[in-house]
Amino acid sequence: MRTIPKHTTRLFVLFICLSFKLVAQKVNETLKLQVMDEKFSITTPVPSELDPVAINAKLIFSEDQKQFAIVMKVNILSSWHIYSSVTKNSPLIATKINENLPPDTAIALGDWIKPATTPFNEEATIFDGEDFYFIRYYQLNNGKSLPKDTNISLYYQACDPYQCFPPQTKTIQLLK
Amino acid sequence: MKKHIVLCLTLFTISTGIAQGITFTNSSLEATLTKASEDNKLIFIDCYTVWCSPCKKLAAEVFTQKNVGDFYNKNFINLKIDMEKGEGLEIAQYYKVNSYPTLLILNSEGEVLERFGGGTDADKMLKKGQQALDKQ
Repeated sequence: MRTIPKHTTRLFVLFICLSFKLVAQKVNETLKLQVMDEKFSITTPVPSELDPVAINAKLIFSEDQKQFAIVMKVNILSSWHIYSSVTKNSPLIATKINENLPPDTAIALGDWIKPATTPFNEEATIFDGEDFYFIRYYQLNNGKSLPKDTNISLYYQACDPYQCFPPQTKTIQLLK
Repeated sequence: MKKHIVLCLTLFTISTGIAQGITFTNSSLEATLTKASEDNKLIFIDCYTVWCSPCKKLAAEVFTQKNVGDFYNKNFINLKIDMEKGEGLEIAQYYKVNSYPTLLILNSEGEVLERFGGGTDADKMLKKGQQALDKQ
């Protein structure tokens, strides 16, 4: 009788494990729908000439509480922008999101889903306009809950065609 | 010999044509204040940062204009200082520079006579410069 080579068996086991992991880490479709709906309930302060970038954020949990999404809403004053990406040697400062979540609490299900960008020049693309959203989905680890100080920060540098403000960080506490 | 003179004159004409616009000195603010006092001049400071696109636009499109250069070179000692490096850090704090570009015109005591910024064109540069001279 022909025997199955050892490495084939190992590959098969690895494939099965990966498949299970992929299934386990798939974002709950109902949660996606909840996010699509609930993101519109997030309100931000009104941006002004002295503070042209307003943000707010919200945690949205799936019905079974096993997955959640962090949704950040950004509202930029008309004619102002922040940088979404910059070339390697550019002095311009790209926007960064930093979520303060203990690493053993939850696993990110993919990267941040970012809004569309606008070309700025050969060095950069920008985010501009009112009411756009950054979304990231997570799977809570078994038996874990989010700590009270769970927060999210946006690091950005804002400019209009005539002036720029220094880079700054705004932080939103997610559990209130 | 004649050829050399013609060449020199040509090069001089070209270089003076290119060198229009504001000429900035590399001195520190402290040394510039002393020089301003000796020469009875005011000080113009372009407070900029490397990540400020409007600062680059202002430098390329307004500071380079001949009428702006003639006026500022005649009446002011001109400084261009990165507010995130060296003495720029202290200057930004002292003069409360919170947005970029910020343009300052100081007397030799370091007092602000004029302060302006974004959206500056050649006319505004000349107007603000004249207002500072009138306050002197």
